[in-house]
Amino acid sequence: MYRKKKCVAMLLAGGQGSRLYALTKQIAKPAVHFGGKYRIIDFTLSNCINSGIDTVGVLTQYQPLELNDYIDNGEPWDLDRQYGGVHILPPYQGVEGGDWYKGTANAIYQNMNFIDRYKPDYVIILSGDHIYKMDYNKMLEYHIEKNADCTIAVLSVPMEEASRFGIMNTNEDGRIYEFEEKPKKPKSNKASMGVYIFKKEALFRYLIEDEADEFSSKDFGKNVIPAMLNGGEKMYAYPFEGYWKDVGTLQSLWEGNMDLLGENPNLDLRDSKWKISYRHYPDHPHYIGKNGSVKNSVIAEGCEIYGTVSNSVLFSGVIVEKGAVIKDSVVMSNTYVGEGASVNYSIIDSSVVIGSNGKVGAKREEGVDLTVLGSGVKVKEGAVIKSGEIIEKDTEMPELDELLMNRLSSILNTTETKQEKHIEREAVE
Amino acid sequence: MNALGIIFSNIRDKQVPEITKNRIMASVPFGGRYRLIDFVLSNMTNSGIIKTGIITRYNYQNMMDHIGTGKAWDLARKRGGIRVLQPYVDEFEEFVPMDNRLETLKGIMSYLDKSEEEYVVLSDCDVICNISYSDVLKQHQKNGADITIVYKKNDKDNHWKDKRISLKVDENNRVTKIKKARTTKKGTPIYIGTMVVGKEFLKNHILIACNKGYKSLHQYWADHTSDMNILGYEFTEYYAYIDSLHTYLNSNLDLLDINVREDLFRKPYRPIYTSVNDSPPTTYGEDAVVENSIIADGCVINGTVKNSIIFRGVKVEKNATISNSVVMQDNIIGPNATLNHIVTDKNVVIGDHRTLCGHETHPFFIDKGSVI
Repeated sequence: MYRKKKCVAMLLAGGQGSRLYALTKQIAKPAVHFGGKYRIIDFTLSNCINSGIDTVGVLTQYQPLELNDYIDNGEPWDLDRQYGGVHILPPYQGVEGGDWYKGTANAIYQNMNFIDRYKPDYVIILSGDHIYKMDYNKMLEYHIEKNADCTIAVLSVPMEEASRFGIMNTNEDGRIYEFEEKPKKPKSNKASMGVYIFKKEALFRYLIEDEADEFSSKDFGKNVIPAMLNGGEKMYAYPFEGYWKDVGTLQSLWEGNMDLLGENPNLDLRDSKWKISYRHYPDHPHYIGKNGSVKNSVIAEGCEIYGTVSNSVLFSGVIVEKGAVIKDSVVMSNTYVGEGASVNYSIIDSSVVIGSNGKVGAKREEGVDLTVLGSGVKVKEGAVIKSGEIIEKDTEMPELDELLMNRLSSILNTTETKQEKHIEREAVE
Repeated sequence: MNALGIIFSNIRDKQVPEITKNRIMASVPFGGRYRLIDFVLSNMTNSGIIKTGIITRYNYQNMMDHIGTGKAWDLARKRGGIRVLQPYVDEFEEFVPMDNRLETLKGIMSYLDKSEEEYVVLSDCDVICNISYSDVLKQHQKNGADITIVYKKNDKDNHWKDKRISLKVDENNRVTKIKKARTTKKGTPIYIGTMVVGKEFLKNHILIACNKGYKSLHQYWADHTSDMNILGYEFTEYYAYIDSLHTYLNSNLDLLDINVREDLFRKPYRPIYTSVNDSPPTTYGEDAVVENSIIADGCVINGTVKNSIIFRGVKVEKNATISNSVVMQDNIIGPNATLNHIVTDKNVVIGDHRTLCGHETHPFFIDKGSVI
């Protein structure tokens, strides 16, 4: 017997995030690294547990391996529960066959039996690709107070940007009378954040209806929400104030990381009342060497810095050698930046090796594009990667010093492979 | 690994009275984010020991708090895992004596009886090193030893605050003499608080020694070097021993040496685990100047830090200068403050323009929660 839950969260995490190019070649967008220690999905999962929602279904589809591994039993977010907790929900086969998730609405439709196990009154639909801190419980209270069938969280965006979003037009009391997807002439600046709370009963009714419609693209924004509006259901907009960022593009991902910098950062992760939890990998505190210099940056554990770092975010285990310079960049875990190398206005994924005197990207200024190196890319000593390039694999095998490679092997092999470590460990015995 | 781990957590609690005022040696903070017991627990789990008993006597709440269920060391297990062995009263409502290791081990005889492992790794809680017990056990088995004692050769002449156990080891690695000494010469093998012994052998000899009235396990071994096969295992990598505030500061500062960090923290497949608290990464301001220092997560650095170890969640304000110091968790070092050769305990607040200075051989200590 499952205990009844008031509200169950369904987290859509199947997106490919194709606009992140090299960064999502091997992993789903929610698993993309963010902010020195986190992955994008940490924010949504932490919001859930901080809001008192302890039952979360994570719908996966695209490249789920690393995401599954990362979420595992949900222990880092206190979501390892006897009843409820986090559940990975991939597409499945049934008696009458099965299919991939055809759209966001179809993904939830296929998992109605999961929701029903907990007999919730409400269902909150979330997406795993936004960076924000939000108390869903306040939104739920609002939803209950309004006796709404559906409540959509909205954010006030600058009017000139409103045409990039799904815009809610509301009455004074917040009731939505119209929804416009990317309107050319927006009537309001209330942009949907992709956070919906439904009465379970209403959600199921419309999902079943939508599934029966063969012309529907099975999408919440395109089909379900308009259908509910047409059906005259009570739909309200819940105004959210605070930091919110869609990090779906390379540029916005870079900006999101930069929002952590400064004395009063736009995105503050130090609030002990709203901690963002993440999966830990054991690493020692970072070390800054005699000639190292770090200014206006965020540095995670395990880094060894002998060079110069400014306006950058460095993830765990990054090594910056003597004379190397990193500026305006995001450098992910266990990357090695050799002597005299420079990295400018770039996103460097995990386990990249930049040979000595390699040059990646160009100084950030008008007309200069972001440079991106995908996971595991090796840059030859002295090689130049021009600004704006997105490199997914080594274009030519670098001739790295053998000694250096030996030294790095232990680092490179230990990249996020907690599982592997265990296997190795048991094998040693 | 076919061995059970036993850790003695209440030892040398008076060695560094400043730091152990509120805690036992096992939970003394070290290296920016660790507690001393993390090393032995990590070594055990990395060597494949899945069952570990921690012997406690008093004031162990802070250690229990740190260990929790043992999850961080992968020791939250249905089979095995961490077991805290507390003092208890017997059927006559009398405390079972646990004044020395012999009595303690006798007191946990039922735990030893119940476990199926053939060998026992006995370790103190303050052994700061990264060692593979599997290697020690392998040598123990290969040579058919009764006991294998892990030692490290003194790298210089030493005068210890309290007596330490030194060994005489012959060319076949056999321990021929065990004695306590305050002064030890360079090259003398010093026992580093770790030994491997067969479980049945240990059980038998605990009873014999207790019956004979021995008060010290080591004394009992010392008297039987000729009729037991006691072997040494030389450990050659980094090992730190803390017996004063001065050595505490120095062992921390040892970590500024890359070779020490390699030895302790960067061994492939042998990381040192500790309890985690979801700290964000550290933020450096525009005016930060950091040289040759270890900085843990969750700090905000706007001042100057040189040759120091900064623990989690420390805030260093503008124009503050910290050198040759250890600053523990959640300190706030105010603007224009200056610290040199200082060890601050947790939650200390140093006000604006304060200047605090110790000396290399006599660091100055600031109590937990002080506001200066």
